[in-house]
Amino acid sequence: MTDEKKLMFQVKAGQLDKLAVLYENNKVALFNYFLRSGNSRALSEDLVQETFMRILAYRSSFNGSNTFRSWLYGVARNTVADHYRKNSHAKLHSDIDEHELTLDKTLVEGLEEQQQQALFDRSLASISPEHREIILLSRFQQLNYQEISTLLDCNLSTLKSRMRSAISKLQYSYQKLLTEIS
Amino acid sequence: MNPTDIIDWKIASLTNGSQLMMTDEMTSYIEQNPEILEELNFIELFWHNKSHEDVQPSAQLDANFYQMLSRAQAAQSPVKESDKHSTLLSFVQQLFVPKALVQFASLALVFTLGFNLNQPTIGDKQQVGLVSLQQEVSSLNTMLALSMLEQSSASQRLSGVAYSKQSDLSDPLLVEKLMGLIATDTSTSVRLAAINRFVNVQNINTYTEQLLTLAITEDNALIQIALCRLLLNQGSAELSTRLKGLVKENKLPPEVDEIIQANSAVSFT
Repeated sequence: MTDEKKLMFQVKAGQLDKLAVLYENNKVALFNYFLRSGNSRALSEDLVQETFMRILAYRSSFNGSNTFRSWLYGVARNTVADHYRKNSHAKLHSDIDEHELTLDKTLVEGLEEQQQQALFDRSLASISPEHREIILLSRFQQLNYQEISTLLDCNLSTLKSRMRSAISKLQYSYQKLLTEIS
Repeated sequence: MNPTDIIDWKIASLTNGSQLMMTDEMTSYIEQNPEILEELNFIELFWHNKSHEDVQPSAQLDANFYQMLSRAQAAQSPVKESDKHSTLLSFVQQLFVPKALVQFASLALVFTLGFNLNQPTIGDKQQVGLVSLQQEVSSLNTMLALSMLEQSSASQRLSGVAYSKQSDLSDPLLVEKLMGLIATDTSTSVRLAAINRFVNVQNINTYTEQLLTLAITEDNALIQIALCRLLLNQGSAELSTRLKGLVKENKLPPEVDEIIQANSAVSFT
């Protein structure tokens, strides 16, 4: 695994080509982070582009006190927050309808695995954005507790408490959906 | 020992990617409280569900990123114009992109216009025809630029800003569109390119107040600085004083003061 912090310092020092390595390492995960947060494909791609644009623009502010990933997702969160602040009329979590369609389709087809994925996706979409974010960062972006607590600016015990609450809400939503379809 | 400790342990063991050992105390607690097993099984199922595969972004994302990166690199160390078409293949490929075809069509129109202008005898009727043709070319370029600026993809809008250089800013619709992009576009690169579009515009004074208002109301420091730099490039002492005043009133970031000083230093040397 390439040392991303070292690469980011090289970008900061003016070796802009190193940003391509960081982009290749993180583009899919970042794209899926935006996608799972409820943004459309086109918007998720624009947000990835914008995040890397900001990384380039604000590279001098990277001080290496945290991991690169932690910093990257910090920039990503600000990017998406700015987007929705500027476009307050934009529909957040526009993919929820698509989740519903997927669920119906998979129920008909009886594909257990896909049905389960659809249930998880829909459960994720139904919980609050704050809870969803913690789960996404931990489960899908594979950030550890230390990185997430830095990113969300909270201490470890608060983060653990929020995570428990998030999982509990997710399970409740999952069970409810499961009962509805059975 | 309580349920919270068990849940914390389970999540920690999954998020850290290594299975932490369950203590005897935990095992005993779970045996006495089997209801917690359901929660643990759910967490395990959610974390290890293999159907959560990542979706791949489109190739357009890569194209946009590398376009942005090459622009940044070019800005960092300007390359020679001749290096742009380093291989015959890339040159041929560039010839067949839609933008190049559109430019070729415009060039053909301009050529026709030039050919007619160089004819030895031009009557009034022909002159009227040429003026009309000139207007047609200008209007065609503006329409194309406007259409590209309204695209949903940031890279297409970027191309639109670049293409808008084919036409002057005499069309108020185009100016309005560019100002709109500076004010509200979701992509910083598009906003910066739109600001850059106003560099070296002869009648920039016409837009000074509008650009200044945008700089004051903007909350992205990068955009603010780019706008102030554009305004300062006009070399107006009055504008420089106004900007200094706005920095003092904290309406503009302190970096602007440094740019003003740097600009003054350059103008005195």
